[in-house]
Amino acid sequence: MSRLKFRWIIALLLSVSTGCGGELGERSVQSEGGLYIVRYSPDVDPVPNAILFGLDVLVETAEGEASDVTALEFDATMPAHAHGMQTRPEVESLGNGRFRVEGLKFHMRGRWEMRFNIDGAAGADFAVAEEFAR
Amino acid sequence: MTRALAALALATAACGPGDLARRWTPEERQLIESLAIDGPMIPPPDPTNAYADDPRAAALGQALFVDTALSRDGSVSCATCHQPERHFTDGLRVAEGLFPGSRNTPTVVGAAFSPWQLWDGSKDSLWSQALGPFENPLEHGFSRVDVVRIVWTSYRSQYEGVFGPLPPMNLHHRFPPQARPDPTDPDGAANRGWQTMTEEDRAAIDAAFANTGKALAAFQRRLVPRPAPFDRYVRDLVAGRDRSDAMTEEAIEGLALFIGKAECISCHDGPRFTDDAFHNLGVPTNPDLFAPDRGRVEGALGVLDDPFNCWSPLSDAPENCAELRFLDPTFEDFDGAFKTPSLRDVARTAPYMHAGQFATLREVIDFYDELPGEPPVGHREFTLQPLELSEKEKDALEAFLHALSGQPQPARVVP
Repeated sequence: MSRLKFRWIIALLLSVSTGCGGELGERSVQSEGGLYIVRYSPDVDPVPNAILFGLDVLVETAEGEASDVTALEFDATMPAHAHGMQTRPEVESLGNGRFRVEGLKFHMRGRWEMRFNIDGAAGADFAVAEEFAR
Repeated sequence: MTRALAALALATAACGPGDLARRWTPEERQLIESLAIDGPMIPPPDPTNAYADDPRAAALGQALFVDTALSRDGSVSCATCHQPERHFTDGLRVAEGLFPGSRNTPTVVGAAFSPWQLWDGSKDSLWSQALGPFENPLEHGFSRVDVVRIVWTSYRSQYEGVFGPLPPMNLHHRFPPQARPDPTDPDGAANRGWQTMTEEDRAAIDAAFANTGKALAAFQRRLVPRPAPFDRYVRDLVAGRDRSDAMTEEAIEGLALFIGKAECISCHDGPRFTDDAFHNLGVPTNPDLFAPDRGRVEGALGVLDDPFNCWSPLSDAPENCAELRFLDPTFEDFDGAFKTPSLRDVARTAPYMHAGQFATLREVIDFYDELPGEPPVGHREFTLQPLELSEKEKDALEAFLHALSGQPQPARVVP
C-alpha cells in the first residue's frame, strides 16, 4: 500500500470517527507528522479545471485546538506532469485556525496535490491532500 | 430480394440502437460531451469594459476594424492581419503590418473567452490588446493622438453617442500629430510632442484611446466559435442516435486518439480546446527571426506593467482583477512558453505555432510525434513525450482537427 493511500485511509477514518461532516468537514487530511488535521472546502466542487477558485480552510491540532494554529502556507502541484500552478495563491488568516486561500487555478485536468505548511504551538508540520480537477 | 434483405439485416445489425454510445466508455463519453457546443458560444462578461455588450460600440468597432486611415501611411487596418475571409488571420508565418513582426497572427474569433490575449499573454483584455498595434512601429505605426483625431474626424457622432464628448482634436497646438509616450526614444518627435501636452489633455487622449479599444473589443467579442461537425456528432451521441453522419470514421478514430493515446486533451481541453495556460513545447526558432522568443516570461511582466491593464484607471472594474492579482510572473516554466491556442476552426488558421513554424496541421502532428531538437529557450514541458503514431493514426488525428471547423463567421456581425 502506498504511503499516500495509507494517509488517505487515516484521513477517512478520522473524518468518520470525528463526525466532521459539518461546515468545513467535507474534506480533511492529517498532517504528515500527525500534529494537525486540515479540513478544507473548495468554492467549486468538484474542483474545476482552468478556472480560478478558492478554499476555506480550518486547521486544528490533533487534540482539536484550532486556536493553537498560527500560520499556513499553501501550494499545489501536478506530480504526473511535474509542474505547479501558473498562479500565486494568497492565504489570509481569519483567526482561530481558519484561513482563506484564494487564487488557485488547476490548469489541467487530473490529479493535483495540495500542500499545506502549518505552524503553531504544536510545532511545524505539513499536510498533503489530493484533488482531481475536472 | 433475399440478398437485399440480408444486406439490410446486416446493416441494421451494424447500426443497432446505441451503437454511437457503445463506442465509448462512460468516462470517454463524459469527456467528449464536455468539449461540445450546441450553438454559437457566448463570451463571458468583461467588467473592465462597460461597453462590451453595447451594440452601438460594436458597430463603431466594426467600422474602425477595417479603416486603414488608422495607420501612419493609410495602408494598415486591424483587418490587414485579421482578415475575415481567413478566419481573422493572414495566412503568413509572422504578421506583416507596415513591416514584418515576429509572431504569427492569432485569430480574433473566440479571443474574448481567454483571460490572456496574444501568444505571450501580455494583454489581459480585448480592449487593451486592441490598442497595442496602433502604436507599434511594425504594425500601424500610428500614435494615440492620431487615432483619436481620426475618430474625431470620421466617427465623432458615433463615438460621442456612446462614450460622450471627444477632446477638441481640431486644436492642433494642444494635440500635436504623432504624439505618444515613447520611453524608448525620449528625445524623438513622438515623445516630445506628448510631453508638450498638458496633463489633462494627455488624460483625455488616453481615455478616448481606451474607449476606441473598447469599441473594437465590443465588435471582436461578437466573433465567436460556431458549431462544427464534431459538435453535431456529439449531439447525435447525446440524443442516443444509432448513427451519425457528422464525422467520418477516420475523424472519430482521431477523436479517440485526441482524448487517448495522443493526450492532446491535456492542454487542448474544454469547448474551446484550450486551457488558456502557457507551455513550452520546444518548437524550433523561426529561422527568419534574430533571437529566440522567451514568450510568457516577458509577457507576464508586460501585462503587470501595462498602463491599460485591468488595474488601470481606464479599466471599468479595477477592483475586479483576479487573474492579474494571482498571476505568478516567476513561474519557473514560463521561459519559452506560449499560450495554448484554441483548436476550434484550426484548419482555417495555418500556419501554426507562435512564429508560424509549421505550414500545415500535418507538420504540427509530425512535430508532436517526434519532438525533435532541444527548445531554443527554457525547457520542454516535461509531460511531452514522442507520440509514436502510425501514418494512419496521424491521418485520423488530422481528420478530427478538420472536423472542428464550424460554420463560417457572418460577413457582418453587427447589422
